[in-house]
Amino acid sequence: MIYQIRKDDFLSWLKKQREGKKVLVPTRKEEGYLFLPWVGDELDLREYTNTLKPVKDVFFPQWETLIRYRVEKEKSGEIVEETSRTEPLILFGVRPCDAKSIKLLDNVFDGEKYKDPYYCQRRKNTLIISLGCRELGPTCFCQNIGINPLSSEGSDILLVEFEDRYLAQSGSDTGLEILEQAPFTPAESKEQKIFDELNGNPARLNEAEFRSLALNNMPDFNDSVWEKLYQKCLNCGICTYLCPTCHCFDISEMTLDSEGKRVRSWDSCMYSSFTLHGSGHNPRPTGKERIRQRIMHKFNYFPQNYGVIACVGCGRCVAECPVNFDVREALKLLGVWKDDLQL
Amino acid sequence: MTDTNTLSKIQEKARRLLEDGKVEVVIGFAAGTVPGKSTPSFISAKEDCESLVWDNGCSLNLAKYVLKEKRKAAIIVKGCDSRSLVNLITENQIKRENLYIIGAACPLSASCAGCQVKVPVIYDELIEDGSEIREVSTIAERRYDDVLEFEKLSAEERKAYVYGEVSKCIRCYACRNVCPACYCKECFAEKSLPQWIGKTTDIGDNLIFHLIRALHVAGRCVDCGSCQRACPMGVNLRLLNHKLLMEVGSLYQFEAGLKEDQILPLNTYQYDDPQPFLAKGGGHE
Repeated sequence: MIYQIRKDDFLSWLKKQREGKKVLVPTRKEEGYLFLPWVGDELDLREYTNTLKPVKDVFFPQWETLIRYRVEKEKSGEIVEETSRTEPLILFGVRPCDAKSIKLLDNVFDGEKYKDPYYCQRRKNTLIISLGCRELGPTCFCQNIGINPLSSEGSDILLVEFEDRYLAQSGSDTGLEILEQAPFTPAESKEQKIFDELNGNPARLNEAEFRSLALNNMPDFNDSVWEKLYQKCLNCGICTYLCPTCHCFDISEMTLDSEGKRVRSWDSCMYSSFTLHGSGHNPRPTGKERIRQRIMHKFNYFPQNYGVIACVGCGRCVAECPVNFDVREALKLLGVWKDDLQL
Repeated sequence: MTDTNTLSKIQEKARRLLEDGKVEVVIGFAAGTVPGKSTPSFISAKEDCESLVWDNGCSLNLAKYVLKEKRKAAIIVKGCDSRSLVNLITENQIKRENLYIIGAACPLSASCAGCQVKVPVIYDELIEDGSEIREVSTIAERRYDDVLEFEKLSAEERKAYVYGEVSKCIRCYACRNVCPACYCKECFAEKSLPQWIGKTTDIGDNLIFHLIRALHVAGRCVDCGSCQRACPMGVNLRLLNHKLLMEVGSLYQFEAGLKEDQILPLNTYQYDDPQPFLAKGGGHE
């Protein structure tokens, strides 16, 4: 079922949501678009392809305090669990690739085995309104790995720009509830047809096909191809920190005198301190093992664990890498990228 | 931009070095997959030399790769890469005789503001492209306009600006990892026993990281600008670098990476070293 709303009406509706909810929108900054709190001014989405930083930051922030503690002489230590700081949130303008990335992260932080209370609470408190991509950015490759740039997966509501309106599709029950009420209206069969046409299987390869390539064709752990791959990588963390699906973290203690806090922060498999053991041994001592970890985690371990590839084709790693390490090229070299697809 | 003649000379030289067995690998640039970016390339088969490029996308400082390279290598350098090599030689990090340096004038169409060293200062062979080679070592000539402008601001304004810049940082360490002068085996930023700085992007941690990064390359930075180009968040890293270049220039009349026999001011002690930061200027009676 497709709904529709005039753009002006949508913005008025969104503006009203600011009573009681924080609304984050893609905001143009000097360095690029970032999700920032909306003050209700005019949205400037003219050159918006995607935000510089991925949306994972909202649910799994770059760093957060897990607990605080205090130790006093001759007293037992006192631990205070950091209470939740989440507030009702609306994310507007999330791209479908990033919305999908949150679905992927749910496997890790809101899975059967582990539930991360901080993450889960933020998820529960957030409404995701995504904005489908009518045009792809220069480094986007979602379609090549089976992701539809007009998919509502991971969103509560998907909006697709059409003339002076947004066509809307729900991706969750919460989203559907909203769409069933004014100012949203059910679309006529004409709009329904337009949506279907726009949405006519834009993914050039389905995810399952790509996944089976990744699972079956990935070279051995000790294959010499890894040697070739890693040379130019300088092991900075751009690709992992700007990746919407990378989710490794580190936990460290920050103490001052008798008080301290336990902090969780993003970690990166690119760093030499990643998986460094207390003994000084590191099972991933050089760039070769680290690049291998990054690729294998996304395209092999994650699909083995959760049945889905941990890459959404947003292309941030390609666009921002200082040495132009291109994951598409890497996959091609590894025999995992389908040959007939041009870069 | 570079004429095709320069490129073919570079390719020919690389091919010859591999053919004659003088080197096992040539470090240069190949075409990238993103517009405006060429990508570092490690060529060990002479047939592959045709893939070398020398264009506007070759902005990265390739000297970084020499630190890790174990094979006998040739490297294709522009002005600032060559200066980084000189710095690494003077700091005993690489051996000059293990390296074949192919120099060529910087191919970037928009050169960095104030750049005085487009042509390599050190090389085994210089690919002549007809451009005038300029004698360098002209510290006094260089004006760091960004620093001079910044210094006109009030203390509050300066603080606000620096806080604004470093608060963008996501601590990806790209500035550190692309920098040929950053080669510590263990970086203070990642030490956990003891932990020198927090792993958060809190303003305090970010500020400490950036100040230490800048101070650590004082007297060693050749102002190639790789750090700033690598930064995905657009942090103005060069302002701090320029400030320290100015300080080292005025205190020691020194700029890094110009001559292989230059004495590093921060590695040596002299009785009459200037110490204006001490009380009463720290003068010797």
